[in-house]
Order: sequence, then structure tokens, then C-alpha cells
Amino acid sequence: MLKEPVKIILRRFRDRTLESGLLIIAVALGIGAFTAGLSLIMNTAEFSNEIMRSPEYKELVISTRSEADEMETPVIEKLVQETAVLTSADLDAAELAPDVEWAYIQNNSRLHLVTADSNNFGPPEGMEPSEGENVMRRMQISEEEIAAAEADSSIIIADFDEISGYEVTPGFFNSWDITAAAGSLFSESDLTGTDNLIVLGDSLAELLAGDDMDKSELLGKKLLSREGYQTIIGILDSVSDSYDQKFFSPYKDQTSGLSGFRRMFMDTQLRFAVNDPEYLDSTAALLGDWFETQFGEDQVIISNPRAEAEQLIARNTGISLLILFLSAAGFFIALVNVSNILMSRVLRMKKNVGILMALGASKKSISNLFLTEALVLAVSGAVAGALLAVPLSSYMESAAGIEAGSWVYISIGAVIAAAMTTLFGLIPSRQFMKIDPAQAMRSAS
Amino acid sequence: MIKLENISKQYDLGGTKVDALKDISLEIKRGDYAAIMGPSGSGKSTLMHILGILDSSTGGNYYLEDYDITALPDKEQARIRNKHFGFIFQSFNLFPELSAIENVMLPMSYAGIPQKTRKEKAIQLLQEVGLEHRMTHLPTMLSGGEQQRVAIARSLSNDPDLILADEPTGNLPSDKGEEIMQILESLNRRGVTVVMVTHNPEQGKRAGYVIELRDGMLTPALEVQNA
Repeated sequence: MLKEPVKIILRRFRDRTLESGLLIIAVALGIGAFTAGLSLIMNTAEFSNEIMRSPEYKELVISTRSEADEMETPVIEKLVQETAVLTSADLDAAELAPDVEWAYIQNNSRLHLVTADSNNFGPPEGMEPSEGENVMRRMQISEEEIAAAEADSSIIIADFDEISGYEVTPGFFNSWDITAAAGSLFSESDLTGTDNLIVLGDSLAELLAGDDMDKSELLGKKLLSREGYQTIIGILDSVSDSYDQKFFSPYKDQTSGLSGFRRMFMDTQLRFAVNDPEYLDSTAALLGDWFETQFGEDQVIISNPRAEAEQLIARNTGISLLILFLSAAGFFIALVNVSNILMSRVLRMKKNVGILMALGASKKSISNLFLTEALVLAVSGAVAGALLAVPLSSYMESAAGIEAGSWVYISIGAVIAAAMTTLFGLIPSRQFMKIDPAQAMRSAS
Repeated sequence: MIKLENISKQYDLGGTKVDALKDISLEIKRGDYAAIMGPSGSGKSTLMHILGILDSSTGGNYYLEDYDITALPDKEQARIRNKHFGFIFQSFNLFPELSAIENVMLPMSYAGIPQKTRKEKAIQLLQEVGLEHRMTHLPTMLSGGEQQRVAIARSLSNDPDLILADEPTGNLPSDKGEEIMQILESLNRRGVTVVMVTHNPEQGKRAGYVIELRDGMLTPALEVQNA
């Protein structure tokens, strides 16, 4: 049960609906903007740190021009006329640069799966391959073959058409610190072998295993694809959404058949991961020299994804800081105004304060009373402000490319802002600290 | 009970010093019924405020039960006002946000009395002033006489030793004023010390004695009517 002096304050707050409403709105808007601004900058910083820790940003990517034209990463050097062809042998350049920890190739790849009812797969109409492109024709599979495969328990027939993944060299797994949950990863010797081996990402394995099979049972079985039978030798631990849905196969240089042919269309990118991002520039210089002596001037392009990411982060941080500054300024102006309105409220209360003192209120209890009023204002403003800040900050964060920003900062921001509101709300009541009750009673009577 | 020694009070009005009280010495004994009288501006209210420790003097000493309380810390002053004094004002000074019973309960909340006891005591006091049927009404719904009776009930809530009434009938028609006077007199008969500021010579005559002020000074003789 509330004490009577508190009832006076709360009922005054309630009875002056318009004034109290405006006060709460002003505080809520200020707290909402400030909290969203704070949350934005904290989440930007956190997100930046997090993505900078990704192995991707400890790498240099070496490619030839046709690749580089499609890349979004900034180009450090650009070649004039393309004659270079990169192969896995060029990964040996890593030995020249002492700070390179891992060197590997990671190319996009795709497998076209044979499903039980997709026996008439072929190029779209009007796009029949010409004579020279015959090699591109994928393995044709007859209905009998499918039927036989279905009967063979060592063959997996998927119920979807296509899976995407990467052709990689073993250094990829080292660089990303990816391990096998079951089975094994492939090794250097598999790069030159003739078998089609694949390793499956965690969710892809579960998808292929379906409901009636454990994913570990996939090991050793063959996946039927237009590109041939793919022997499943390993299943990866869960890493990230983007890799869990992929398959990984050994990268093969200009070998015979399909992959050799595709090499002509898709250039190889070499990736060199350094142990510390600090050495990216010096390593880029070393590798640049080496590739220049190998292929001639301006034949390959060395790009540094981290440099672009850093630029982007610097821009986002700058914008977030500006937003925080503006919202903090707005909040401060709101607080000064709130303090003013409270001051006029307190002045109207002056005679009542004198009476309360006559009836036994000490100056401390008077100041507690106004603390109650400031707290009511601050807490209701903070709750409404936080409710405003949630959509506002999630909108701003998605505009800045931040996923899943933490709500912790909204709560922290709201608490800080509420404390500041309380502080400003208490300023007006300080004037009672120096006067006698008689003075207070005289002033407004 | 109360002894004032050479009390003076100066106000500083924009550089000019104004003497509201000059060299006041007086004694109020337990059970007294005193009236403070004098023309407007003679310092009646200032004396009243000093007696009630609502205002501080600029010179002299104030003894309450032989303790010098001239310069007590604020918290102690508040405690004395709360526990030992009851105030009744000309304009009632009830809180419009609180019902009659809540107004009476208010001083008890500063005394740290639990809610249930506060309520029981407030009901009993409102019954004594004949307002048991108006307890949940807000002051705006009460007549002036009723409001002053609520204020009297409020002043009695912590069983004070001294009631300080500042023109308690000043805002009331004479019949209602008479009711208030009778309540105050019955309180005095029960042993409560009453000090009342009044303009009304009739009321002054009914008091045990009159403290007469003129220009901030006591008139030479204390008129003692009922020795």
C-alpha cells in the first residue's frame, strides 16, 4: 500500500494528463533515439570484430583478369593482357612468404543429381550443344540404369536435382579449421586420383540421409549424379550455414574429362591465408613479385578482401557515430526541456511542499518524493523508448548490413538513459534543500 | 514547555533589513491556551512559524522542554514538528489529491505508523470531529467548515503536545467558526496546549491569555485574564 505523500505525487501525475503525457512522450522519444543509436554503434562494433575474425579476412586472393572482373573485392594490381593460367602448383608460392599459414584453392562447383523421375535430363530446347561442345554433355543415364541403381543399397539417389559446393584443396579445411564429424577429409593424394570423392556439409548430409537413415550411414556410399558416381568419404562438423549446405570435392588441375574442360571456363583462384592480418600487405608484395617473375608484369591480380571490409566498416562506424551523436544531442535537449517542465511543476508544488514539511516531512523525504516522480517518468519513458528502439535499431542495423544485432545494448541503453532522466528530473527539487517550510508556504499562498 | 529568549527575526528585502520580530521572550506552559493578537504586519505569523519551527530565528534561543532546539538539524526539526506539533491553517491546506481520511493519515505516514493503524486512528479522529460520513470525500467536495474539521483531525493524528492554529476561523462563517472554537477548547480541556493567532477580540477573550504584538515587539504587559 502506497504512503499518502507518494499518492499525492502519483495522483498529480495522473490528473495532469496532457502535461504528463507530453513529458512521457518527450522522454520516450529521446530515450528511444539514444538507445537505438547506442545499440547501433555497439552492434556495428561487435559485428565488425566478429566478421574480421573470419578466416576469409586473413586471406589474399590471386586470380587472373576474367575472374577479377567479376569480383567485388578491390583490385590492387590489374593485368593488361591475360596469358597466365593458375594451377595448384602455384600454391607453392606460399613457401616464399613466411607469414602465409595456409594456401589453398576454393572454386565454386555444382553437381546435377539424378533423381528417380528425372530420366530425360538434357539441355533446354534450342540449346542443343554443337559438335565442339559435346564434352559438356553430361553423362546420360538410362531408365534401366536408374532402376538398377535404386536396387543397389550402396547407391544414393537423391530426391532433388542439384547441389552446390566447392572444389577445394586440403588447405581449405585447415584454413577454416573444419574437421570431419564422420569419415575423413581428402588429402593431397586425392587431388590427382581418378575417383570422384566428396565430403558433405552437415545439413546437406542430413538432407541426403533423409528420415530413415542416419547420416553416418552415408559414408562409403555413392551418390548418383550426371557427373558420375560420387563416393562419400566424409561428413563435416557443423561450421556455418553457408558451408553446412555444401559439398566439397578435391580440386583437380587440367585433368581429362569434365573438370579439365570446366577449368577452361572458370579460372582458378588461389587463396593465401596469413597467420596475422597485419602481414597481409607485406605478403601481398612478396607474392606479387613472385607471380610477376612467373607470368610477367600485370598478369595476375592480388586482391585483399580485408581491405574492402575495413573500408566498409570504417564507413559504417562513422555513420553510426554520427547517428549516436545526433540522437544523444536530441536526448539531451529533451532532458533539458523535461527538467524545465518539471521545474514549473515543482514551483506549483512549492506551497504543498511547505505544508508537507509542517506535517513532518524532512528535506530528504521531500527529495525522495520528487525522486519518485522522476522515476515514474524515467521508467515509463524508458519502457516506451525501448519499445521504440527495438524496431528502429533493427531497421538501422539491417540497413548497415548487421544481422541479428544484440538486444542487450537496447536494455543497457535504456537503463543509462533512464538514470540520466532521473538525474535531470531531480534538479528542480534541489531548490527545497535550502529553504525553510515557512518560506515555501509563503511563496505561493 | 516552550521558552523563547530574545528571539528576533530579520528579513532581507532587496538590501533593506526588515525586523519582523524584535527581542521576543515568552514562555508557554503545558496546558496553556494562548492567543497571539495584533494588527496586520505586527509579526503574528512569523512568531507562529518560529514557535512551530517552520522558520528559523536570526537571533535568540528556543527551548523546548528545556532543550535548546535553536539550531537542530533538519531531520530532527521535522521529527519534532511531526510528533509534537499539530498545525491548523487559515486556508485549511488540505491536499486536494487525497481524500479526507488520507489527509488525516498523512502525518502518521511520516511517523512510520503502519497502514492499518493509520487508518484506524484516522477513522476515530474523523468520528470525533463528526465527519465519519465524509471520510472518502475529496476536500473539494467538502464545505469550508468540514475542511477545517478534517484539518483539525489531521493536526491531532500524532497526539501532539501543542496545537498551533493560524487564524483557524478566518475563512469561515461565524457559526462554523464557533464549531471550530469549541473543538479547540475541548481539546485544551483535555490537556492539549493550544496557541492560536486571531484577529477576533472575542476569541482573544476566550483564550487563557493574549500575547499582543505591535511592530514585531511584545506589548509591555502580558494580559493574564484567568490567572
